[in-house]
Amino acid sequence: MNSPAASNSSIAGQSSGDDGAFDFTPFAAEYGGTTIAKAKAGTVIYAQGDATDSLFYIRAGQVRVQVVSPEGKTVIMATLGRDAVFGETCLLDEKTRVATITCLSDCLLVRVARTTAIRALRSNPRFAEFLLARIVRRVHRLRALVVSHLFDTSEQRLARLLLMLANYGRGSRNGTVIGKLDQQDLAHMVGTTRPRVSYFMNKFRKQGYIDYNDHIVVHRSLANVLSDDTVPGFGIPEDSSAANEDL
Amino acid sequence: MHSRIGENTSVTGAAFDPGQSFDVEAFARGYGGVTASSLSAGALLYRQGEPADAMYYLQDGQIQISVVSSQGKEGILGVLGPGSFSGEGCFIRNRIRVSTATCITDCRVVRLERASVVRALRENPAIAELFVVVALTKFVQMRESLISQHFDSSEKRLARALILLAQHGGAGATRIIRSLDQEGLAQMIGTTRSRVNHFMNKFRRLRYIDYEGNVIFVHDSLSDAALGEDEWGLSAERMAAAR
Repeated sequence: MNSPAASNSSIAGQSSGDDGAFDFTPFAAEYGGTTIAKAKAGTVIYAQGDATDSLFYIRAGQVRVQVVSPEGKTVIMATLGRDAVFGETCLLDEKTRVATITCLSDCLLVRVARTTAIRALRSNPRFAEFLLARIVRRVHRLRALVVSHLFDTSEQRLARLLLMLANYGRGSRNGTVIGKLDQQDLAHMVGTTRPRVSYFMNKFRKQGYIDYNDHIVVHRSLANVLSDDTVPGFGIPEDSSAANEDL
Repeated sequence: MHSRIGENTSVTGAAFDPGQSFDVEAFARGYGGVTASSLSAGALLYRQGEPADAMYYLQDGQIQISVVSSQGKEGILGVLGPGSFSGEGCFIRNRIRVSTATCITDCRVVRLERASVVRALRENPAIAELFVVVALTKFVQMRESLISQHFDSSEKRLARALILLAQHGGAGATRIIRSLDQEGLAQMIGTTRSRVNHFMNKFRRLRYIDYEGNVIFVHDSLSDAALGEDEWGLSAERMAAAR
């Protein structure tokens, strides 16, 4: 991803090494049950229906969170980047994974066993704080999508999604490149068909709001598509490393 | 005290069981920044756009969480009942309220200042754990709402909304919703009032619900129907998670 590590200090940040957020090295030494793994683009970290036994922290790379209905309909709930956590609902008594996690790029992931995370949560407030900030950030992003569904047309939802993926609302510069998602992925995120996405993408390009070849470049002017640019929660960045949101 | 993570805690309600209330007095003694108040139906707890400087614990009553677009369109995200927390946005820095919380019945509410919440979180692992459960429960609810928007027909979304709202309405085979009219239900699931009216009539014919004015009686048969995957396509697990 394109954002530099945060320089803001925070409680979680103070304990960090080069990581910018939370240092899992002493954590692993103290609690065990923690492993660091590289995963190539395309790797499935876990699949919907798998038993839940761990949560993950993204040190580098980007993943896709996808859910398939019993009828085979697909929705992409999110793409998550550096400094995000996923699989955290294993801390509740969810027995199986609700979503499938696939690496969109090469990733560096920290895996924390469920029992370890529970133990750490009870004795290490810094870990609780670290986790809380990331859970709440995901709540806000989900809420923004839910609200967008209530208020927006599919064209506006696509525009909002592209702006969100490009991290607008956080003062990033014009023409931000977003990660590797194809038009089918975008359709599954917006809740429409691939031909509709293709139609809108062409329209946005003609209007000079976006460019795309291998990857998508989103210009700030895409916000013109939105009749209403103040849907709450849309300032939440895709990649949080530029904006340390800890307490 | 609340159930703890990894033991009996489940999103099916253990964390928010009104019978196992958050110990307000102990929190006030330990960390301060606690203000209890009684609010009348219609009172605003906080408004979209204000700084998120406190969390709220609802002791009694029901609170509606809504959002308004700058063009004045309203969407209802949910209704909170006794034992719920609201305002978890204060767990992240420099956040503003992304929704509006309004009392829909008379409420008893405890305000917890952000500074006290943060201190408690850092000093008391049991409270930290509770807040993590609170945040995770919100996460699961939002995830289910988004999944429902993508996968479910408006009829199923209405059934789901009624079941979720009825969880605050008593313990019997029939639970009562007093708080939302059909316009409110329409705003909650993103459809029109006339569609809601059509489905409500259908549900009544099928004896899943009854209603008189704004009081809705939700029978267990609605859950049974909604949980049956054949007819509704909603998995039991998803519904359980949503509750």
